[in-house]
Amino acid sequence: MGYRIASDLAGAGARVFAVDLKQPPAPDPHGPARSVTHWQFDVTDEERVARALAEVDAACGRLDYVVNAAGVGWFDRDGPVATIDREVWQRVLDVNLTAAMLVCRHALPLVQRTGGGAFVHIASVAGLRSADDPMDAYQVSKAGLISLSRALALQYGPLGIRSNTICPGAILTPMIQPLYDADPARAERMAARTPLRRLGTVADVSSACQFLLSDEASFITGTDLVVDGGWTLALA
Amino acid sequence: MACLPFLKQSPAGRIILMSSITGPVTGYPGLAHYGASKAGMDGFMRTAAIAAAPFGITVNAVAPGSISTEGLAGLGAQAIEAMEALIPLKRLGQPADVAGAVLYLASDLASFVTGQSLVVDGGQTLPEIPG
Repeated sequence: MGYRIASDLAGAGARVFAVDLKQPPAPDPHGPARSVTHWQFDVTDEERVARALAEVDAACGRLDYVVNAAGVGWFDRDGPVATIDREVWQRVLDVNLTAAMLVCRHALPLVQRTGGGAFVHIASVAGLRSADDPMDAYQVSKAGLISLSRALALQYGPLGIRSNTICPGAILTPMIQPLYDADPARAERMAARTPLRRLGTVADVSSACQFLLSDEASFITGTDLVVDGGWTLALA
Repeated sequence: MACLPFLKQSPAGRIILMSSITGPVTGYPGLAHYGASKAGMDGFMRTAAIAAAPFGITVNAVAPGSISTEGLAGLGAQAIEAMEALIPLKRLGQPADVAGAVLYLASDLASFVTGQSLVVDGGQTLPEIPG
């Protein structure tokens, strides 16, 4: 999801710096040149985060947009509070919530100096509701991220800084692909339970992100844009 | 109801309702009828979204906060300043802000968004304690 967001923003003319634990995919040799700098490190490492933001400052002297899209969802290890491993609980919170806080903490001074800007955090409908296959650490971390966004929106609104979340439903990404590989009928079942009868795509999330960062959304802050094909409003 | 036959023929039908934070989120003295109508509309929107989904039609709403209109301007500068003070972005919304949200929901970019009310209020409904 983060790759698509980064790529689309670069395509729209932004200078993009992206962080991931993994190597980025090879750029499309036939596609347009994209101005994306890929860094590879663990976003829970505060010192690396601080250094990355210092490099952005040195390279551009400004920061207009911040997207927190790093997240883990461990279907095999996350679970109900009754049995979840303490280390798994902590790691999920660290990557999905604390890392976002660290990025915000180190990005805010530069965004402030720029005179304003916009943050988007990729949360989840799991943060608004409750997952039927328990992943308690995941849903708690996403609910926390939603609240973090609101804190930013309230505190930094007077400085012209906006913050919103996107709450996707089921989006086909590398993170959840294993679920679908293990159970080929899953995609059909999920689509059948979605009013709009399909799974979401990274394009759906990326375009929501572009909208929230754009001037068209300049009075939108502290909100959560649900992109789920109608999941959360259907009763059955 | 009148539009549905035409929307069904479209490859990407869209219904966008004009809601408000007054009613669905907040209360305001003297506006019980307005608030009830907007909250009722949101309820209708959610059911309409489910009914229209099989036809690829999305149904959403935009919920503006305090938007600078002729009506609001008539309240005077002091009243406007008092309103702006309650908004984290420290300004009233402009009609263009509402239009921006409508355009997004109407576009292909929002084809997976349905049954949602997009709040456009500059953060007015954020604080724990108002004022």
